[in-house]
Amino acid sequence: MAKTLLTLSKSDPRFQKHLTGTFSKTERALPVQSLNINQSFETVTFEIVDLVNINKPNLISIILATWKIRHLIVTFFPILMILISLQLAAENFDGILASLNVLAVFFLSISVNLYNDYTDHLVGLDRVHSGSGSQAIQKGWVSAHQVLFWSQFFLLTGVLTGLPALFVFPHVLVLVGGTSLGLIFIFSSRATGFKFRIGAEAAGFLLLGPLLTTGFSVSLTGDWRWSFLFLGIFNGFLAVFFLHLKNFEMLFINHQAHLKNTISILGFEKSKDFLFVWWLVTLVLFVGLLFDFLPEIQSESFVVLIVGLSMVIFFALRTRKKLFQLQSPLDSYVGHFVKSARQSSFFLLLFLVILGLGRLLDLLGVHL
Amino acid sequence: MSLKIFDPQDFPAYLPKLNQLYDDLFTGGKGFRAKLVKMVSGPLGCAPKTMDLLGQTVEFIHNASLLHDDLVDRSFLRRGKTAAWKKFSPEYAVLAGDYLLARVMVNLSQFGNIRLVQYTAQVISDLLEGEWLQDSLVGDFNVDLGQLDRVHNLKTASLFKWCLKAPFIAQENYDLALHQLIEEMGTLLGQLFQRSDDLLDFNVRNDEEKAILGDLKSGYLNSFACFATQGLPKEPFRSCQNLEDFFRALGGRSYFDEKLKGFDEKNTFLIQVYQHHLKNLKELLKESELGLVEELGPLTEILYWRRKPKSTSS
Repeated sequence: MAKTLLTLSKSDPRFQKHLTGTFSKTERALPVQSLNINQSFETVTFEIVDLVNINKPNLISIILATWKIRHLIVTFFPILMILISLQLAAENFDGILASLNVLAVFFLSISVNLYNDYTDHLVGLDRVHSGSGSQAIQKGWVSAHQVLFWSQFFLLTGVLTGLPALFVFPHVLVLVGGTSLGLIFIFSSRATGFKFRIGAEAAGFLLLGPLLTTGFSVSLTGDWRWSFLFLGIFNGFLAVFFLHLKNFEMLFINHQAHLKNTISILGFEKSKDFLFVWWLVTLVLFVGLLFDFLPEIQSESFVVLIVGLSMVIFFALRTRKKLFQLQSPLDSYVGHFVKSARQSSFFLLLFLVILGLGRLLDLLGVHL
Repeated sequence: MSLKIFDPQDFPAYLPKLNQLYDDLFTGGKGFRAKLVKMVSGPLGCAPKTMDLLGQTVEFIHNASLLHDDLVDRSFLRRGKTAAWKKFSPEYAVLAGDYLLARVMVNLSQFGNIRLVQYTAQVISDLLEGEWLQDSLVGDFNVDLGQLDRVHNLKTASLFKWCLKAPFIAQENYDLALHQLIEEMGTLLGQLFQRSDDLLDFNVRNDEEKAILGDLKSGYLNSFACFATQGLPKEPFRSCQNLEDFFRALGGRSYFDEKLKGFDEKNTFLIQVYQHHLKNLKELLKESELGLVEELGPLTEILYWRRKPKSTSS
């Protein structure tokens, strides 16, 4: 059956409407071919499809895909650790305020994930790489405009949900909150193109690192601690490690799209060294948390410390082996390596969470 | 049109074995790319000498890549004859490829169109990047179709794009919208040609009797193999020596046919996109150039389905 195709260049007034899905209420323009993405002379060929003919999964599947729930691990790990630490330190905080703050972080995270999908679609990254982003827009499940709307909705909801904390601790939270919102804007703004520049890595480190942990701690107790700052530094390193991994996977496409980040500047061979060093630093910070810098969850058990150190050594060696076996940016094992690096990170976080929960259960007198 | 000699300085007789090597190389080839360039140049009103130059340029670039390819892959045969590196020496094969590229630059720069020289140099660079990347994928049976397409876009499609664009540049037509459209069409033609060539490896529409499973035996998963084996464990395919082994590893002949049907459907969509671009091309050509659309129309039949269309002019 012949399909309806339409090719538009960026200079065509219809281009933006077809890309964002606002050209029609009954049809969707699915990008079929994109040439010269992120250039002023970009052209896109769309397949125009009736909405009723698009094979959509159920709503839950769409939500899980677009919200990128598994990416929230990096956001909620430090929050969980802070809550556990505060409980273990017998620090009082309001349960309702804490719940609102957790919800605020959740909404803001969803907002950023949705906005990333939106900008990656507009720039073209998700259009030329089927493994990038949720692909919900490219498959026609949702339009880019809808994704933008929901991103803005969750941003507003997040800000409103976080407002009570602002009233309770206004003096410090204004600084932290204002900086964070500014960074979120810069990180995701197409106008500045900041996300696709090296500054995004610094912004990501701050937003998912010290700013997150300090801000959350202040929003609960009005105060901050060095241990939470250290936790933030660890989490920031880990979050940016995931960003570097994604850029490493997309090295070839980023190069063709003229997108600059640390990985694309270093190139394939030097990036391998860089990634390994970054991973080692993250592991050292993990050891710091384990032994000293998160005193509430610190274990005195020799066994626990040995297990923790063994994990660190194992993950360091495993990552090194898989990384330095890679021959090419298009090597299929790049995907395996990235998956394995993420899994290793997940186990490290799980270990810390189990440690913290174990101490909490101990404190509550619950013995398993 | 003589593919070999454009300028009297090409292939001087004093260099030992040089002419013998090239005579071997140029006979037996179909010269399809040179024909494609002529097909595009004619309706644009290019002078005969310009058409000869463009034809020679693309064949030189293509054959240079073949000379180097055969050495890199250690292939013993090329076009039914002993490969140049085996018959003469690896050193001569490397030098012969370099020499062809050097002659391209000499003859093009004498033509005087700097944008054509610049574009040709870019295409050669893309071709080499594609070769480099493809070489890094040998032995990697987990590569996906998207990754292969990126390699083929550089390696195969770049020359097809050149065949379509170069005549316009030679005629000093630099219209951006036109060139973008031609580039998209060239990308599609290159992709379709490569995928059809990959099917020959599995004896599909293999009228030219290309060797079966050559790519797989060399440790390279081509586009059809990639598509057909998606989601399956790859180890059984590493030891395939013939088609029966491949069918068995895949899950039977009927599964193969099902996958072939799916692959053809995928490429039929690409053909539809190509035809869509062809319609848009009409809007960008002058009245006197519209014959080009008729020349380009049947190409997908020839390149992908490997059959002569009902009305073909060449």
